[in-house]
Amino acid sequence: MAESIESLSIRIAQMTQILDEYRINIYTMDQKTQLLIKMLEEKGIMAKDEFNKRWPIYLKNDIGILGPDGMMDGNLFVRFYG
Amino acid sequence: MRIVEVVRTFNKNGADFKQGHRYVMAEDAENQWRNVAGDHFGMSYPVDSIYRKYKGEDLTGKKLMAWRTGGIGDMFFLIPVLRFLKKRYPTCVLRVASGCKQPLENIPEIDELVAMPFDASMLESVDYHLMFQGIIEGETEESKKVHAADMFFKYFSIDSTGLPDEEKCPKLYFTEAELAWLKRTSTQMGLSETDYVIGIQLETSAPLRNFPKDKMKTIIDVLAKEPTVKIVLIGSVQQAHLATFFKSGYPNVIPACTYDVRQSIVLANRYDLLVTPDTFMVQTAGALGKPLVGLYGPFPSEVRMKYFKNAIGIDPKVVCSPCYKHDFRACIKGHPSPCFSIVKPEDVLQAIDYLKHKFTGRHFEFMSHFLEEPDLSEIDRFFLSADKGLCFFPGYFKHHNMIRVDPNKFVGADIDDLGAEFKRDSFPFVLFMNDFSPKGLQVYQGSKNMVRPGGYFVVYRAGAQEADQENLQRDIGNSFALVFAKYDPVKRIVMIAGKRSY
Repeated sequence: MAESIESLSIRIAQMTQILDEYRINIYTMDQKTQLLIKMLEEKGIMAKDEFNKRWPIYLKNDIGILGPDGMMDGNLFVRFYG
Repeated sequence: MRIVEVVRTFNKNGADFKQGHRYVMAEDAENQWRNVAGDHFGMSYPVDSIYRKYKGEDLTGKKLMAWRTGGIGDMFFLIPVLRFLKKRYPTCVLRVASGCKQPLENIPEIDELVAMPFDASMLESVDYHLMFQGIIEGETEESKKVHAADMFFKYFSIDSTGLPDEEKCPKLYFTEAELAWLKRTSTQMGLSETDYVIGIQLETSAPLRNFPKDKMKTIIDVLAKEPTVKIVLIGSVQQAHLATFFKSGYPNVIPACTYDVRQSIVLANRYDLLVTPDTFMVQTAGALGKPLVGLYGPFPSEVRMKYFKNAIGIDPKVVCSPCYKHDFRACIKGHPSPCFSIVKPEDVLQAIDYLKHKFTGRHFEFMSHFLEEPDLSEIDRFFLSADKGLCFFPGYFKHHNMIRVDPNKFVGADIDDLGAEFKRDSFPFVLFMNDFSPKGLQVYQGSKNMVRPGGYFVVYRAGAQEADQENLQRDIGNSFALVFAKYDPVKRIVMIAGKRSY
């Protein structure tokens, strides 16, 4: 059990490293979370439900509010004053 | 607001309550003091019993006392009102009390500045009172649309509609001792005269208004790599840990979390530019006329920054924003506030660069990425028409025969709004460049329809792979006759041109 947890944490660390390489393209934590979920599912390390239990705060943003690109639907306004 | 009687002297925890005196304080402050030292306090009652509200009367030779608990930023909106009153009634005496009096220090219009809670006898010795709590907190429809300074003017029964913007802008005053401290401290912090100093406020008092940390980190990471730039991270002692995280080994990133509010305001004199979420630093920068990038979410920047010079407000417009929430909690939809999800670090960086270029005439080095000119020599024959064509490109590139359309407001696009000014529906050529994000793809699909019969549709994509050429070629081939296609594996550029049939 201890060994599997250790190997799990090593693999998560490796994935975090891979994620860091995506940093230029993927800025938001939410996108990272989604990607992490996807990668974890693909590797079969952790089921999505398990992930959701551990990171409930990201889950809140994950469902409904933010779109698949990690953003809310809307526009950014840049206002110049003076 | 309550008047609380003190039955036994209490002078701990920064308080100085004298026996037999009565003190004016907010309800929550009364609750806190009663919890700490309940047996020191006697009866209390609402302040209304002795409240003589100022309703715009002539203040010649009269005394007015105005008070508000906080916050620090809100006190700035009072400064223009007091300046106006003193100008109109030079003989009036203005007494101000606040729980956050740091911005009001040294202001010549204020005759007496006291901290809250204050002795209720101060109210008896003046002619008029004005308690301005809850004016701008978004509780009324008006406060959602009208600038906070105008709300304050209105509360003082002053019509501010005709006043010039300068008179609605706060001003700060510093003593010589403070300026000497500034010089000393700047040297200690390692800020030299030639440095371009950017002040970044780390957090606000409410998680709701905080800019996401990961995005802030990215902004700091990019700016820290600029030569001659020094970044000062402004915050309280509680944010020192966060500042250490943001610093992460950069020698030119300087945490400034050990200074009190007044010192932070004095230090702002040294910054060449400020980046801040909705905090008192926004008002400080505005009062000092410093270039400013305000990061807004729950409130629109307009009601806080409208009268500033040299300022950019970044407003996400999503279904729930602006929500006008003014409390000290996190957003109910999750933290960080999801409205900030549509603000990209690039947006903030470009705003910072825009202001720097405006005042120094120089761009940051990271902007070379945006400023890079594409090499169109192989496809420029398609642009040789008597009439101008369209170019969809998110960057600074300009071509004499192209009307450039760019959704990015920073780069001075020729057309901002396709719906309003853009009347024509066909062009001799359309050049689509680089933006293949989900939003960009929508524009890509739409732009294909803007080519007139016999005209060219040209796609230029940098950083592409060989497969992209095949995909684009197939897609363009569906609507146009292909006349040119090339993939440069060294530069990784795809160029494809198609001709629309008559």
